[in-house]
This record gives sequence, structure tokens and C-alpha cells, in this order.
Amino acid sequence: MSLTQTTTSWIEPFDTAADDLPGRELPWVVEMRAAARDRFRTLGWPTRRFEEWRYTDVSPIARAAFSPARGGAPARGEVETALARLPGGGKFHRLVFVDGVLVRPLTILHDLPAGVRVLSLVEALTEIPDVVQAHLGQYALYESNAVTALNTAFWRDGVVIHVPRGVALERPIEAIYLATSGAGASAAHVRNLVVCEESARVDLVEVWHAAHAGAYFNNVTTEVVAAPNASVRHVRVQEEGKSAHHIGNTRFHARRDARVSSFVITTGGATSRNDLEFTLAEPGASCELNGLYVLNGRQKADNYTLVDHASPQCKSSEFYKGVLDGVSEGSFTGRVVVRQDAQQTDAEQSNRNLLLSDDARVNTRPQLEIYADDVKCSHGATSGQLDRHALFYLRSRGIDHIRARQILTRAFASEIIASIPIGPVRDHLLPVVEDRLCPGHLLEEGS
Amino acid sequence: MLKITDLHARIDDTEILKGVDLEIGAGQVHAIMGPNGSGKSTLAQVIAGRERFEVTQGTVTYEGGNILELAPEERAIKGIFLGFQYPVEIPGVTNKYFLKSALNAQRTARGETELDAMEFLTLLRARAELMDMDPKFLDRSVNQGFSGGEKKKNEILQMAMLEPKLAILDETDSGLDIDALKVVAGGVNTLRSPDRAILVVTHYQRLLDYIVPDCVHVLCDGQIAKSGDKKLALELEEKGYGWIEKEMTGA
Repeated sequence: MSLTQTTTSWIEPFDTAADDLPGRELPWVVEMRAAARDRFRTLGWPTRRFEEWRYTDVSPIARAAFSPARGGAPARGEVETALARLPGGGKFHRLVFVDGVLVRPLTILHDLPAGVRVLSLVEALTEIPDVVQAHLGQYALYESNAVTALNTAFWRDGVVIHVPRGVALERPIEAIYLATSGAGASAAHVRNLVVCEESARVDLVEVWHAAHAGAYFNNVTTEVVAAPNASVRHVRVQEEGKSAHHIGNTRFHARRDARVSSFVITTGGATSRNDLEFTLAEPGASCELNGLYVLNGRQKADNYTLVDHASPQCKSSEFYKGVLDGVSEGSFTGRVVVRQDAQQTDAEQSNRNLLLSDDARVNTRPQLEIYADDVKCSHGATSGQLDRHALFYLRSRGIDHIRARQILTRAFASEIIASIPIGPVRDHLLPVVEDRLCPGHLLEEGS
Repeated sequence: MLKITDLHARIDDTEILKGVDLEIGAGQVHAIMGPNGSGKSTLAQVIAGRERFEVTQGTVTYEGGNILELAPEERAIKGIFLGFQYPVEIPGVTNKYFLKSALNAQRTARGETELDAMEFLTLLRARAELMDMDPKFLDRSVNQGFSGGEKKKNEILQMAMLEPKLAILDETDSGLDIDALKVVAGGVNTLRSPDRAILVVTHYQRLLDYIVPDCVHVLCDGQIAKSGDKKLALELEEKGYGWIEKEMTGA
């Protein structure tokens, strides 16, 4: 199949299903969708010839025939079973999207402070149209990114959070995205927007979870705006099904003295890409990017990150780790751009990988582009096997070989999990990650 | 308890142990001294089961059985403990978790019941106090950011928790100031008992003022060149190793 054919095959079924896409009555939405659709047609699916896409092979997605996911009634029990396994546990505000569309009755909102809005994008278009219009599509630009163009043309739902000035949300907001067997081989274009006004604070936890083992595709674009002195923490837990594909584009726009953090944990998916972009737009803004990918079998996961130091006195710190087993392939790109007037920039980056099998592969590339002269930038990348000295040390104390490997691997991975500032998310992730590390050998909780 | 006969071991193509003979009985403390590069650490690690050393000849029997075919963990379960010259840092694994995993792995393998959290903590606190160790070290990652002295104390703490029958202490005294040395030696001495043997590998006579050995052996170029009682250590302190090396080549 040629590229043009794959492009057409991705537009036509969605065109057919477009009659019930939200926002048809809003001219700006209609125009944006049309322009993005044209842009996708022009750009086509990206190939590995593009530097940014060198480690993501989208052809298994491009060539697949996925029908548009339109929500609908999931098989009873499937959703309940999945929800019971996820974090939050009634403590978080919770929105549940099934096959790309919000299921209203599953929403849990505790007492939200006055003025805080937590709703679906469909609802937000009616209830807070000005906020949506002011921000949607302003940070995730579709002109240069075909996957974002596809998302912008055909998004059906997502979460919208608006936190007014000075309000600190104590409980995290959890957005759960379930893929159910009812939707089968489908593609969902999910669009999220977080607007955190001056000196406000919010935590968003995205959880991507499969209730079935079949192939499907989630194409997500999340835009996060942190106004001056605002604080946003964003967690992505990607535990899609083994045959699933996932591309997440997350764009952070941080203004003066704003603090944004991102935690990306990837354990699922056959092909996945976490594409993060941080714009430190005004002085004093800071960002933290932590990530962990735990892969086995034939999984491929690409973490592509870009931090744009567009202003002076901004700080970024990035720490990614990978654990790779089987014939999996993990990639990390840490691009940091320090613009000419971004003096007193402080940027650090580290990527460490643990290879548990001879056939697993890792690609790691720091890309620092520094145009200012008064900056502090550091980066480091390593990949290696378990420390033989440490293995012998544990074994010499009576711990058998298999368990010694488990303990050391868990220790390697747990550093990133420990950095997540939300307890129930950590509690959820430790067993999930351990399960991936040693199927069938769940470790007891360390004390 | 431990009988080593004509032990030869090499790493890659370099032969390090060239026919070691040594016998240690229950209740005894033996010291192995010798110049740098004589094979002291290699001997200690071969007994503990380090796989990077290849045994090419000889036997090591412990409590009547050959242990050379056993994995390091199997030797540990039989009661062999190695105090490391360079204790390994393990980020992300707390001392407590490490010790509990080790102790319970050994207990399970020996058919004993595991200690529960309370029993374990009570024992650990008591042993840490014996080692004059700040309890905060128990919650820190194994040896990470520990000073040289703290690392060595931590080795002895592990020994005190695991209560081995045969403890091999590989240069446990190197890099210790006199106060830390006294604490470490005190810890070792409390473990001395009629059914336990201790093999102390050291470069310096100083340690033997505090852990008084029944027997001192000098290892030179991969062989035991001389054995004697504790007076031999004092003689070495005075005259160095040169005369023994000369005696060896002359013989």
C-alpha cells in the first residue's frame, strides 16, 4: 500500500463518520478540522526518514484498517473489572472514557472548589466555549505534525480542565481511557486540554488501559497551559493492550514562574510513542520530565521529548529510564533547545537503560542545541546489564539468582516510580511494573 | 569445618592461587596475611563462590562436603558468609529489605519459618545497636553514600543477622580508623563461639590486636608460605614480608 493510499484510508472512514463529530455548529471548530484534515492529506503518515520519527515505525498503524471509535455501550463487567484495577480508588476526581467517549454516569467529582471545571470536551464546547476556543490548537500545532493533524481533524472527545486563578485542587483528577472489546479494531482520536490560571494548581493522571487483547489505536493530543506561577503535574500511565498502538502528543506551555511536571510510565502497547514538548515561554518557568519504559516481547516504545528554553532563568530536568527484555526496542530522544536570549538556563538530562536480554535494543540520543552563552546544561546516557558485583553480593547472602535479578531490576525501575508525587499512582504502578519484570513472580512489597 | 587442599584458581589466563592448603576447625579464628597481589581476596571469593574465578585444581570441603560445585547462594545457606573488601552499593534497595530478603531466603531454604515484620525489626534493631549503627542507615539504600567505615560496619551487621557458621572477612579493617576498628572487632568477637569458625583476611597486624587469632598464615604468590601462631603477625609487622618471600624462593 502506498503512502497516499494509507493516508486516504485514514481519512475516508472518518469522513463518513464525521456527521456526528462535536462542534459542527461552531465555525472555528469546523474550519480548524478542515484545515487539519487537508494538512494530514498533504503530510501523510511520517516515515522513519524524518529525524523526529527515526525510531517510531508507524507503518503497522498506517496500514491497519481501523474503524472510527465512537464510544457506545461497553460490555457490562468489562469496564467494572478494569476500573477496579486502577488507581484513584474513589479518592480522585474521576472521568471515564470508554472507546474514546466520556461515560457520564461513571464520573466522580468530589466537592470541586468554586469556578473549577472538569468536563468532557464535548460538554466544554457548550459550557466554556471561550476557554476552549482560546487554547485548543494553540500549542499542539498540526502544521508540522501529521499525527496531530489527524487528531485535530477527527477528535471526538477528551477531558477539559479549567482551574481559575489562585485555586489549588487538592485531589488529583484521573482520566481513565478504556479500550473495550465492543469497539474492536478501532481508532480513537482523543483531545485533552488543561488550563491552569495564575497561581492555581492541578494534578492530572491519564490512565490508558485495555479491557481486551486485540489491536486498536489511540491517538491522543493533550495541551497543558500553566499561567504565571501556576503548577501542573501530569502523569501518563500507558498500559494499553499487547497488540495496541498508542501515540500521545503532549504539549506544555509554561509562563512566568510556572512549574510543570510530567511523569510518563509505559508498560503497554505493541507500538507506542510518547511525544512531549515543553515551551518555557517566560522567565522563571521550570519543568521536570520523568519517564520509565518497561518493555518485553516485541514491544517498541519511543519517547521523544523536546524542551524549548525560550526565555531566561528557566530550569528543566529530565530523567528517563528503560528496562528492556525480550526483543523489545526502546528509544529516547532528549532534545533541548536554548534560545539566544535564554540566559541563565539550567537544563539537565539523563537517560539510563537496563538491558535484560541480548536481543533487546535501545536507542538513546541527547540533542542539545544551545544558542545562549550563560547556561548550565548537562546530559548523560547509559545502557547496560545488571551489575555483576551487585548480583554476586545478593547471592552471597543467600538470595537465589532469579530473585536477585528481580530485586535489582525493581530497584532500577522504582526510582522513577518513587518520583511520582501521587501516592495511589505509585501504589498502582509498583505491582504493574513488577508484574512486567517477572511475569508470574509478583514480589512482596518492600519494607 | 573447612578444609582446602591444593587449590588452584585463575581469572582469565592468570593463575592466582597455586596450590593452597588450609584447614580451619570449629571454634577457631585464623588470619591470612600477605603482600598485595598474593591472592588473599581471591581465596576469600573462591570459597564464597565467585564465578569469575575458575578453580582448575584442588578441593574445598566444608562440613565434610565438597562445595566447589555449589552456587554462591547455596553456600550462604549452608552457613558461609563473606564480608566484602569493597561492599557493593545497591541504589533503590533499602538495607532493611535486603537483610530481610536474605535472612528469610536462608531460613526458608533451611526449612525454618520466615521471620515476620515485627520479629525481624526487633532482631535488626538489637544487632544494629551492637554495631553502634544509627538506625537511619537501615532505611537507606544498601551502602549507598556510606563512608568506608559505615560500609564495613554494615558488613558485620549482615554477619550478625545471618549468624553464619563460617565467616570470611576480607580486609574488613582496611580504611577504618581506630574507633570504627574497635566496633567492627567487637562485633566479630561477640560472634566467636565453639561451633563457629572465622577466617580474617588482612593486610595489617593492627586488627589482630583486637581479634586475636589462633593461627596466622602468610599467603605469598598463591601459596601458604608460612603458618604460625599470633606471634607470626607481630614478626611480620616488624620485618615486613620480604624475608618470607626470600625464604620461599630459596626453598
